[in-house]
Amino acid sequence: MRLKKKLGFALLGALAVFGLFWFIRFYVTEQLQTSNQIIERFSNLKNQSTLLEEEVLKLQISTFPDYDALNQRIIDWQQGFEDLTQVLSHSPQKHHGPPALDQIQINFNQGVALLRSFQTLNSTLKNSTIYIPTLAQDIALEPKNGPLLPIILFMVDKVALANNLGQIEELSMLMQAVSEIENRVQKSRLKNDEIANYLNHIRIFTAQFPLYLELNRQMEIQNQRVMEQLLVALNQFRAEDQRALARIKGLSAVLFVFLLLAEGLLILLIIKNDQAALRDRLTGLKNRLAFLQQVDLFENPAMILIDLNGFKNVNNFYGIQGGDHVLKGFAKRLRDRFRAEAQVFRISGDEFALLFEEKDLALLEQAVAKVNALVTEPFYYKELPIQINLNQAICDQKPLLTHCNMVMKHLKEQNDQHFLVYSPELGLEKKVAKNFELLEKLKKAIRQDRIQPVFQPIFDRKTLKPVKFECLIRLVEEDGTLLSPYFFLDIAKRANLYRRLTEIMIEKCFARFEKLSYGFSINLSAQDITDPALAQMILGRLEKNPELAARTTFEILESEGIDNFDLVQEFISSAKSYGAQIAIDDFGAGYSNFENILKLQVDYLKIDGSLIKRIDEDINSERVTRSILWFAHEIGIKTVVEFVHSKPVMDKVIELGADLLQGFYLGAPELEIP
Amino acid sequence: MGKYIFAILGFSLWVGGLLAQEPISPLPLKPTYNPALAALGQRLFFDPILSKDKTVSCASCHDPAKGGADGRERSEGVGKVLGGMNAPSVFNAGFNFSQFWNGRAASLEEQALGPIQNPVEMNLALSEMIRRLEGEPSYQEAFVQTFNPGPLTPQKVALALAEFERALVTSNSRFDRYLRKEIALSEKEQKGYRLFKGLGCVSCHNGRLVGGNSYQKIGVVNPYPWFQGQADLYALTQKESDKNRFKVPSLRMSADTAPYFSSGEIGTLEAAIAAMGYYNLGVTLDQDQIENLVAFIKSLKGETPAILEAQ
Repeated sequence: MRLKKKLGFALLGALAVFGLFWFIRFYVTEQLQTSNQIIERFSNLKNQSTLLEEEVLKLQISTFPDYDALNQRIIDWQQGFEDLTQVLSHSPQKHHGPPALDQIQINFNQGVALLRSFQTLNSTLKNSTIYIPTLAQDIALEPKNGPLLPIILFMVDKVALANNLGQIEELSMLMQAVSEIENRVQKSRLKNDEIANYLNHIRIFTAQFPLYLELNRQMEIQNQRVMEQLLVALNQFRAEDQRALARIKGLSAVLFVFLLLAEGLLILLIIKNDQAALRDRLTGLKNRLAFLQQVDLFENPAMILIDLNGFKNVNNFYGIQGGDHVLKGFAKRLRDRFRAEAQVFRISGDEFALLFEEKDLALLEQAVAKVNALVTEPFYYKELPIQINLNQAICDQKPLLTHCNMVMKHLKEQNDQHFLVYSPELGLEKKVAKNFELLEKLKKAIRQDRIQPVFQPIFDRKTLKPVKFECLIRLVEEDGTLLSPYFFLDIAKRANLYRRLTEIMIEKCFARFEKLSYGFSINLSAQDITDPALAQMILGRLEKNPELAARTTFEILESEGIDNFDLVQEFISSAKSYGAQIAIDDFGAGYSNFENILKLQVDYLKIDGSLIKRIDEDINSERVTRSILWFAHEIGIKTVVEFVHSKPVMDKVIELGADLLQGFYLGAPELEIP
Repeated sequence: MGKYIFAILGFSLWVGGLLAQEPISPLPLKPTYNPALAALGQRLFFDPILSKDKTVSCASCHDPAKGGADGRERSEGVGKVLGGMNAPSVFNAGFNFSQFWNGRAASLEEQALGPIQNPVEMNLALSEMIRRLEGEPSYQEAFVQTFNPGPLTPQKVALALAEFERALVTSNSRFDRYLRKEIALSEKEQKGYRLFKGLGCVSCHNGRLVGGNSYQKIGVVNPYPWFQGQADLYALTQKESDKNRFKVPSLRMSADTAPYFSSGEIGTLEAAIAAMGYYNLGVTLDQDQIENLVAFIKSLKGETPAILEAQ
């Protein structure tokens, strides 16, 4: 869940970064387009300025002005300027809008005002310069004006020179000429309108021309100013543009690095997660999953499966922490020793594996010795030495783990050797197959109600008459033969069917003995009693029928060892409170524990058959039995002797003082009660 | 002596060379405009609803039948109040580089709403104008059909009037046809044109409109009387040099727009030509010269615009 969240965040981050990239791409494209457009319009405006200047020049040199073109140029420039300001205002980087732009407009408007003055002055001057030659011609055509002709023509020449070449120096000469003519006209009393008008125009020209030149100069300066400001604005824009692009590039670079980092983190996370799934947390060794992956990569692998023998006891005694300490210690020793030769795995709780890339039996056997050497030194937990033993299953035939498991099980069952090499000759597969077969048989029998009790009579030593019966479980085969629990009880425990069997026995036996007056005994294991639901069910039945309860004896297997003594004791006292009796079964076979017997306040001791079997010949059997019987008698517990298979045995146990007798000599287990 | 002959030769060559380039250009044969918008403008132009007492329309002072002016010295507004200036012709007004005698409006649209509000002209508040137009269902419909739906605004009125004015182009005058080399001018017209250029008139009266493209001063050579309150550039700038400085009037329809000058004090075209000769050229034109110039000016008059023919 945490990982999913992390991955989600990483993905979201990547998505966000991708989105940003996309946005930047879009933004940059937009930016470049706008920027190109702006630069284009700048250059267009510069062009317009140049065209305007050209038009003014044309008007200066042409005799007859036509102002339509000039007015159009002004309109075009204004349009170009509006186009530029419009695109600049739409530019994504609003902040850079050159403040000089307003100034350019102001300067241009001042320029237009100059142009309007220029038009007026230009027309006046053109008017005169056109008219002066016409007048000169008219004056020249009048014969009486002959003396004035040279000076009149001289003036035309000077006007043309001034007008065409801008020579202001000529103007003073013109004014001198005007005075000269005026003098002569006065002297000769020539009253001539044409000459007066001519002089008027010369005066206008002389007066206006310097103004005109000055105005032209100002226009030039103004236009230059506008052009320069345009250039400044353009450069400013370009610089801003470059900066903006650089910023975006920088941002892109940062984002790119960020994306790389995020991607790297994501990959790391995935890898780490993947590795975590393949590694055992406690020991740091690779786990079962890793083993299964690894084993497939090798062509001819071989393995040793190592089991910590009786590790459960370590856990019980030293606690989980103590157990973990041993596991860690062992894992470390294993890893350190085999680092170079094999891969080390923790397969399950107390199982480790060594995986070899190549099969080499000699090498494997050496390895087994090495592994054993690892545990000659005990592990120390809180200064307490913990000694462990190992079982090792060796295998070089696929499927390795399955084979090793079979070998390991075999080792544990046999419990006489601590390592074994797998070989098909061991017949382990057959055993496994047989187990499966048996399990199927058991399930089918339960389904078809073919689990049946059989009843073996128990005799009183004095009367030699049956006083009670022991109920024994049988599986009725399909052909009617009876199968002893020896063959199916083990598998029932493994397959979780054991409780079901006990339930069946309780049901059937109680039902049977309800109709009889005999006492009867039913076998219960410690597992049955410590199963709360089952214990409750049994006690419930006792409570329901007190008469029957009084005839009931529970035989508890002493040989199994009792793990949870308190629960057992609780059950026994409850059962006894309902009137039921308790027998300890197979006493003398396992860990015979007199103290337990005293504590549990049992009613019967059933002496194990292994003591009775040869009691008529074996003095030791007789001695042990005699002492048990004496002990039982001393503390007031009745005794039952099993396995009475012959007359001598019967005679002997009667002589020794057993209270009740049971055995084939007296009566075999039967489906029916006589 | 040889020096002068040289000079005259050179000067003649210079003048001759430049004479080849005509300072006057023809008007477009077909004006471009939006017919629906212009039609709406035309209706407004002739409708006295735009004046306070509903007695004066735009056409009252800019009558197409009177050369686009009104034939009066100064125009009569609502309540028979006299305006300050002689009404300029509405013909070809779209080609003027600015509007009004002193160019205080940059465009036709800007100009159009001026006379409507002017107390001595139509004297109508724009809000009242809108109220009146909205009261006329046919106007409502016409505005909605011409413009996209939306409120009726003074801006829309101005746009319609301006569009109509743009249609008022007097194309295909004899002189334009001469410029396009379709016909030859009569002898008088030819002489008049030559005088027009040789005397220097053309330095102010040039371009498509033969004027209307620059501000010039009347009285360059001999001073012209200045009247306080007239709409010259001085009224806008208060600069001494702008006294008697006006937008040069177009001569295109001058043959029909007597009386003349900004004050309308000159009654005939001949007198106007003579006066211009005196004030701005310092010359006393003889009868022959004036006749020729009149012939030339008459050749500038074009055909009645198609939009008026349809009416």
